[in-house]
Amino acid sequence: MIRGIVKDFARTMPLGEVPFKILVLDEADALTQEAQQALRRTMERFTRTCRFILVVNYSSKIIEPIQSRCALFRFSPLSKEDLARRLLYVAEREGVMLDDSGIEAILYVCGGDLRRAINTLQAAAAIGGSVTADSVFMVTGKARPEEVREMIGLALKGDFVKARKKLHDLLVTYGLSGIDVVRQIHRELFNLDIPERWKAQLADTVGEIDFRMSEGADEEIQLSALLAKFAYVGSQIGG
Amino acid sequence: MSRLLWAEKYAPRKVSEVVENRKAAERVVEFILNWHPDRKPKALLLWGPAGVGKTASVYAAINELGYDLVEVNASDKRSLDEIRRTVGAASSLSSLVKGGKRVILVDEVDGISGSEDKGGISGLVEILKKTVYPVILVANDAWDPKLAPIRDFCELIRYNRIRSNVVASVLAKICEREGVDADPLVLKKIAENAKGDLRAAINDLQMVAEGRRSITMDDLGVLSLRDQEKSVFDTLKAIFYGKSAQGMIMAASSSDVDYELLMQWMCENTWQHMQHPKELADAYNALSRADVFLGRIRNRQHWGLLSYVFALMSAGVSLSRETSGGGAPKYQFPSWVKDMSAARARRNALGGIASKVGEKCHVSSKEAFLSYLPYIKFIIEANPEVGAKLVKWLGIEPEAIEFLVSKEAAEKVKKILS
Repeated sequence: MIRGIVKDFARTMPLGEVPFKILVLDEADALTQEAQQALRRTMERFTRTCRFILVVNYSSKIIEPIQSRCALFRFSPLSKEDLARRLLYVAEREGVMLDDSGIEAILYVCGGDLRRAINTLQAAAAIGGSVTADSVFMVTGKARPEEVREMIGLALKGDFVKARKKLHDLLVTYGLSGIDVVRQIHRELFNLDIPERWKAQLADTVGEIDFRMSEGADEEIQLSALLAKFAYVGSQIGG
Repeated sequence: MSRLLWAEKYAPRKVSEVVENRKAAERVVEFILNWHPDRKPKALLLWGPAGVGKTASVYAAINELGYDLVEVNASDKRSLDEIRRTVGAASSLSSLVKGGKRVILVDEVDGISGSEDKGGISGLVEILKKTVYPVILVANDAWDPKLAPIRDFCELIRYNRIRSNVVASVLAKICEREGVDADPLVLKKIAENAKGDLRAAINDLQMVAEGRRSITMDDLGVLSLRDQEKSVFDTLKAIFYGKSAQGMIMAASSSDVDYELLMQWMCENTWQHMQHPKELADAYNALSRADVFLGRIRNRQHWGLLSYVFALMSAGVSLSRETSGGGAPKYQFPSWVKDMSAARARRNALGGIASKVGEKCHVSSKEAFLSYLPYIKFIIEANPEVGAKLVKWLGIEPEAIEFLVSKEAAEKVKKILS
């Protein structure tokens, strides 16, 4: 591949009135060491006809001789403001009504991933009407963060029965998957009003439950066990 | 606008323009001029880190001497058949060019792939035996075990990283030629960031300076740190001195190095922050749990578990402390990674010696390693004169005995042999 297609593309003259061609290697950090070795001279021998752009998650996965031939530019995570501005721009161009609750919900569900955010916007817009928190959570199959927080809060207060009822609501009424619930619990964990140390320890427990469910364990039993653990931790913190 | 890369435009045209490694480049010229099929060495092996002028000094030398250059590199297929077809043909008598002024350059020899380039190394050995032109090989790591058969024919020439003040002075000259007014501090910064890699520094300079009249510190913002250690230090500080669990996790997941390497850094440095045995045990347990999740991801492809890896390796470790902060420790590069690669180099070198001894003494290399090497070591240490003869007779590369005997003894032997 590198010695064939890439090299042939790089060394042939560009067509038309362009100074040189540009070859983009997306996810170049997935190239094996050997493939990277094969790439290094091609990158600099044919600069008159072709320039390279490598796109990676981690620069540390690219061998030094290749890095030496590149200028490095780091892309930072997008700020919430930037994400929101872009969503509003897309909504406006597409004639979609998007309110503040909708933006907030999209940002919550998608983190800093703009591609996912725009996809979510499109999906929510597709069901008709304006895009609000309700439509976003509906199309993404996620619970409202408040509801997850409420469930954890109940458990921490020691009200295991009510917390478990809430869990059933999420699983049955909203039709969420157990994995989605546990991942949301993991996210909400860090917004809880408990000492930071406990958050780190609970992350381990939550991860363990996640793993068990990934391996095929029963969602209801695993999540009940998790809530029971929260109830115990709550008693430790309180007392 | 110029269409040239500056790294290419300002590459040395003459050997006298090679910086820092000029002696090495001069040796290249001398080698080419004095080369004769019956004389040793048959070939040079230039080795060292990226961007310090290995290939550039070969180009400068042939340009200055008016030689013809035949080059193969890792972008070419280099299996046994291919090597015979390309290098083999170019190095044989029938291809004699006018005046016989030709140099054969095998670039990136350590990039000869084990699978795709099967037999490539033995092909090169074949060619080194009967070439009628000087051959120059270039590699990053001369001690790669797969290069052992080639090393026998080569004189090893080491290229060093280029000191940052030298890099800065080259950058200053380029700025002058390009008509860019550059603050010396800016050039110093770019030079330091490149860590001895001149080509990288020139690439960085071109990115910020091309098409401009002047550059200042502010223009450097777009460039990312090349110095990996520095950026890891920042990540570690954010993890160990952070206020919230969430902040620590953010620091870990947005690090420039991948999480596996970051785990090694955490493992190396966590103890420095832990005051009590319980904290220490808890912290390393959190790291161990992070690793368990990583193992589950590897085994079962449960990528959703990655967020727990980040949480445990950062907040999990850091928050094992009763009190936050602590002193300002000096963070170290993971010694495990370093020890492993040092051990690998040593193992390779000693393995090479043992197989030479085995050949001469008609024993297996394992037997040679166990029963012969200790005596050879003793002889060289006790009597470098005799040791040197022994090294020569056995056909051991003088550079390799550094891994066997003390530095002083190795130096003495090398002196006698040179």
